[in-house]
Amino acid sequence: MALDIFDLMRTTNNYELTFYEEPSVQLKSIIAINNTVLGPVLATTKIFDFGNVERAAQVALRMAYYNTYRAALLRRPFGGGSIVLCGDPKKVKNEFYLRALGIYINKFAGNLFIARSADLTDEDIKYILRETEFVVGGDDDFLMSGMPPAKATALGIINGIRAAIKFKFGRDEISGLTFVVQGIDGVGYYIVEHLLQAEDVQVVITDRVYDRIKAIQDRVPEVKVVRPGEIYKQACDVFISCTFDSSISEQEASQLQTKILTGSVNNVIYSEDVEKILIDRGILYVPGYVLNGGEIILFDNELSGLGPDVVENQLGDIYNITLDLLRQAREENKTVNEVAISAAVQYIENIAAIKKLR
Amino acid sequence: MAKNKKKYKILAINPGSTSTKIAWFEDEEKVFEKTISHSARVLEKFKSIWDQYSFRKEEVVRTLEEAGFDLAELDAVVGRGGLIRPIPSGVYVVDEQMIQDARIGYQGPHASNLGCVIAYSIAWEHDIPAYIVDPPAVDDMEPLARISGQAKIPRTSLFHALNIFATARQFARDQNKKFEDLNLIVAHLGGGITVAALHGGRAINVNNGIEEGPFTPERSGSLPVLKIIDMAFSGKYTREQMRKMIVGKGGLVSYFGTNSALEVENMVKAGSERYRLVFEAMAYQVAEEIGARSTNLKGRVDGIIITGGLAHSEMFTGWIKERVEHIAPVYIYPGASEMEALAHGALRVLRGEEPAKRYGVHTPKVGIFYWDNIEAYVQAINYIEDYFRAKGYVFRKEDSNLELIYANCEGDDERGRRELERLIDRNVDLIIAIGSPASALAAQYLRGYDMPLIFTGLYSKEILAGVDWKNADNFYASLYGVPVEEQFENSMLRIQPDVRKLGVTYKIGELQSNIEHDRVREFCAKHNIECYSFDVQEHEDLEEAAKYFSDEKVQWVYLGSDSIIATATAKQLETITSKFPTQCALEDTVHHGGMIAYHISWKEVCEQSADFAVRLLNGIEIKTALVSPGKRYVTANHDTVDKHGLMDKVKQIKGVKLI
Repeated sequence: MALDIFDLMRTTNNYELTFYEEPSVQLKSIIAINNTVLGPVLATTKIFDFGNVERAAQVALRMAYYNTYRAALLRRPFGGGSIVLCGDPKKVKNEFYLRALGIYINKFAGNLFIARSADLTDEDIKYILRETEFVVGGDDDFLMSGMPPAKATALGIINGIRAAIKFKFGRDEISGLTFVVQGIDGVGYYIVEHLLQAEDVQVVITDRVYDRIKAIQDRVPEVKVVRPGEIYKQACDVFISCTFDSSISEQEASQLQTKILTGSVNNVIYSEDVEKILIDRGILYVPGYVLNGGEIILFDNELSGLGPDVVENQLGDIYNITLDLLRQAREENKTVNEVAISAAVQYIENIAAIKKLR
Repeated sequence: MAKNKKKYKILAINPGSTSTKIAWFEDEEKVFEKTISHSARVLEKFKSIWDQYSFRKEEVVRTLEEAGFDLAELDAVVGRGGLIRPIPSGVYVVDEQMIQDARIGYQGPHASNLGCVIAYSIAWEHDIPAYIVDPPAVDDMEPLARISGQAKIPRTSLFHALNIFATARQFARDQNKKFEDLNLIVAHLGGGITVAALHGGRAINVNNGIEEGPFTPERSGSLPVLKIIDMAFSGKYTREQMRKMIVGKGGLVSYFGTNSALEVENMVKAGSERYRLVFEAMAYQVAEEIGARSTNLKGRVDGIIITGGLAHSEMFTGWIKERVEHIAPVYIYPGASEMEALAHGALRVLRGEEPAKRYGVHTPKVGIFYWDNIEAYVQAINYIEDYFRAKGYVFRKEDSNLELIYANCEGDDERGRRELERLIDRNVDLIIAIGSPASALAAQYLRGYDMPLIFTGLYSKEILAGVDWKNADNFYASLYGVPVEEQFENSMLRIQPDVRKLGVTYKIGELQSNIEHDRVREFCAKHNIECYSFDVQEHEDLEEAAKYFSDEKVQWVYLGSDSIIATATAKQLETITSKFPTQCALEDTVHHGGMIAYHISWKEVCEQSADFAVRLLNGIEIKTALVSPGKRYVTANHDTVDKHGLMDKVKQIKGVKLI
């Protein structure tokens, strides 16, 4: 049965979905806008050959949905949206493709900003900047000071994970624990790098691309490496998925040998049934959108003109936000996802009410 | 209609110093082959050979894609294995351990170290297996072949394993025989020359291709060592120059400045006597090496195979042939089929004809050496096994990570020696000897062997007379004996402080018993107790001992830790235990009707031994090689105590356990 796009828009609270094609540069984009109550849309970008447009639209809608909530949880003035570009980045991405995208972004007249993300390199951003000013993460002076967005996201996630460890094990230290990181490109790489700096921490990594594995292993030979198909069976304390949304189905959830599951992607589990399996197996699940907003903090500081030195401090907020949500979930006998969305929705409603008063 | 059989698609990768050969196979058929040349200018940019990985991998992938191959269709990737750690011949699954060893260049840097990692990388990304086949590091040499004549310099194996095994297998197929059933001598003649004796599918001896054997187009082979030492210390040459003289600028290069055998052959054909002398000398030395290998096989040689690039030269192989064909028929297989050898190895595994070996998985072997099937020793084996299990070891199962090999002396020295030899032949990583008799035998027999020995339940360190514990790097012991005085003071004298007559059994000729007996007598002398000793050589002697003790009106009897008491049944001991309160050296004797023992836990003693073993297997430091568990226990036999009317007094002993 074909996917009902409108039905999916309703269930993900998205109100706008635009399809745009520029055949001369092979640009095929889908832009989802979920909510603009808090501010202009800060759209993250995904470039991938999804195979079919319905799947691409589905990804765009889910990304936009979670981007709204993660900004709200961090109380940052951004709406939720996403840009999905269909195609193999190695084949389609070039100067003119990216400049065409920049021209298209201008059509949203400042209501949508494209954010630097893992799928867009520094060079890509420079091409987009030639055509549009609505880019966040494009200020080289700001970013060159040592905090790439992926690193900010990774550090935020580490803070969130520390909160989960505090909640689950009652401890502040991560020494003596085993972490599995699935996917070590971009954010995953920085997470691994951070973990490997800690003493007495075992890190198990995997990635579909072997060169990424080798790059880490050449530097840190003691890191444990397993093939992608074996990763779910690895016994660990924290499993961090940095691959795709919805990649953990019932089968993977049954195999997991972890006590905490989280990730850099917004929501790594496929369905509520999967969450039930995790609960039954005593695995604490912390959805990625709760703790992956480090880049939003970075971008907000960039737009506000504050220095990057304050970013690291502000990333600490993610620890408190995550711990509060975990405790609230336990008190109310709800899932973290339920209390997180409820808190985010409440914040958006409050802002909307205030805006009406203006 | 017969269903089309699936053809296995295999990519073979063979990195050389300035090129990377690749070939695409569909079953045995080579459908594509290319040598990708790398310019010296490009390779110079990399700090190390390992750093060339990305460059070479991209070249491989690009070449295949340009030739229209889809890597997603592959069933396996096989790479030339490198100078990794020495391993038996065969096909190996590439694993993390192998990659680690290739990265550091376990036996040196070499372009072939990249073979396994490039294969692994491509296989990883397509979720298929990666293998290596017979790397140069193959080492199947028999123990005799490892002895060089200088204890500090063992012989090691480094040879053209891939081509030698592949050619030998091809020969076996051509002869319609099983490769493993043949005794062969295979000479690979190329830039390097190695001559291997193959027996049972293994290269039991081979010259090290870098520094031994015949000289080659560019290597010197074996040289008069003293002259080399003089040159090395003459001050005229650097270390690097000396090395180059042996590898790179030795052999034909040193005589004629060329490493081209073809050029040299042409000079011979043109009538140069000097060229002929040296070129023929090279063949002479190859023949000599073949002769040496024939002795390794005790003259039972099914065939001599000459292979490699130089085997194309009829002149050269002719010289060899005339000197060795009296040994066995000579077969010429010119050239080297390394790509085929790689692909065929992978194919054998994919077809299930041969299991792939695991490189990183060494299943440690532990020998358990014990005197006899007596209860305490069987119990010790159980405790040791339980300890291993608790530490995550699995044995006697399909997924075993430890092999336990049991060796029972059956109470006989000669049998014990044979069992120790068997353990050595099985290449055990260490031996756990249980009980004093087995420990003494193992310590005596294995002195001088490089074999860790763990003595379990040694009565005292004096049992191993002559062992210098301060310098005994490979000896570890868990002690069982409690000083005699401590035993008496904590049990017998607590129950009856005024004992004046003590009977004691011992066994003359058993060192442990004699030491113990001396100490009992010393104790008695010190405490003004009359001591009545009785030598027990057999269980039947116990009855006579009881009679003697009765005649002498002893008040208590000390049942020692000699082998007669240790192996006596309750019924055999009853003749003494029913008549006299008994102080027992062994906990087990109390279980057999003895009255009371002040002892160390046998279980803890055995666990201490197992702990030594676990530490040794994992390379964990052992700070103290002689350990006696500190905790003492008092165990008494309820019925025996009751029979002697001593229950009230026994119960007053703190911590006493009545069984």
